[in-house]
Amino acid sequence: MRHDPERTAAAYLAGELSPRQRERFEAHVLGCDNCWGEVTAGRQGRALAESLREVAPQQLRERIRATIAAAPPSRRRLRVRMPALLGMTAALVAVAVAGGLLAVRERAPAQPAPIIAAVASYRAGVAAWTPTGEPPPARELDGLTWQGATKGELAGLPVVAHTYQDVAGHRLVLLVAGQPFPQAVGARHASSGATWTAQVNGAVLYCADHPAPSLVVGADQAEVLAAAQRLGLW
Amino acid sequence: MWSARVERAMWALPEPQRVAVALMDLAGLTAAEVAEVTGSPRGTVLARVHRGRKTLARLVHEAEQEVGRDAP
Repeated sequence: MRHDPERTAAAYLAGELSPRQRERFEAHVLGCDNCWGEVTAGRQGRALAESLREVAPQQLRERIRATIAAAPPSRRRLRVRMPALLGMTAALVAVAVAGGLLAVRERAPAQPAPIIAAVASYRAGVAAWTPTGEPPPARELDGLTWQGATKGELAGLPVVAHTYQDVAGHRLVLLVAGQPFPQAVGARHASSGATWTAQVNGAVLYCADHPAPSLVVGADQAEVLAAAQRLGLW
Repeated sequence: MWSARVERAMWALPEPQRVAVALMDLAGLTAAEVAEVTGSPRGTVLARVHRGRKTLARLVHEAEQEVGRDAP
C-alpha cells in the first residue's frame, strides 16, 4: 500500500480497509506521526459532527433516508436533485443546532462555563494546546497510553491536560487545576469525600479535589471510573 | 456554547465537504449512499468527509482558544 496518510486514514475510519490492511495500518499508525494525526483529527471531527446528531430530529434524518430509498438506484441521482439535498442538509444542520441549544438550555440551565468548556475541549481534543513538561500521573490506564501533557484554559480556569488514548480511539482526558472545579449541574456525589460524577452533553465527568483538583473526562462511565481509581482520585 | 461553535464550524466548511459530513455523520448515510445521491465517486466522498471532519476539529479548537484568550 502506497503511503498516503490522508487517504488511508479516511478509508480506515470509514471501515473500508480489508481485515489485513486494517491490521497493518493499526500497527503502522503507532510509529507514524502523520497517520496518527490524520486518524486523530478525523475521529475528533466525526465526534463533533455526531454530537449534533444526538440532538438532530429523527424525522428529518428519516426523511432524507426515505427520499433516497424511494428511488430505484439508477434513478436516484435524477430524483434526489442537489438543491433539494442541499436544502435538507442545511435544515438538518440548522435544526440540529437549534435543538441542541434548546436542549442545553432546558436540561442544564446553569452549567458552569468551565464545565461546558471541559466537555467541548474533550470533544475537540486538547492535543493542540501548548505542550508542557508536566510528568504523567500514570503512563498507562487500563490499556490507554499517556499521549502527553498540554496546558490551556477552560473559560478562564488554567488547567494542565493529560491525554490518554488507545489505538482503537478510546480517549480520556485528565484535567488538573490549581483551584477546585465548579460542580456540574446534576452532579451525583460519591458516598465518601467531595467527589462528584456527572454526564454533560454526552460526556462522563469524574471530579475530585484530592490529591489535586482533578477532572477526568471520557465517553464511557466504566472507563472513567476505572481511570479515577487508578489515579488515586478521591 | 459548544453546539453553536460546532454549527459555525459546519457552515464554514466548503459546501461539498459540509454536505458529505452532514449526510454521513448527521443523517447516518454510508459513503456509498452519499456517492450515489451526489453523483461523486466514493473515494471523493471519503476524501471530502475526512477533510471536512479535520477542518471541523481545527475550527472548533481555534474557537476554544479564542474563548481562553478572551477570558479574564
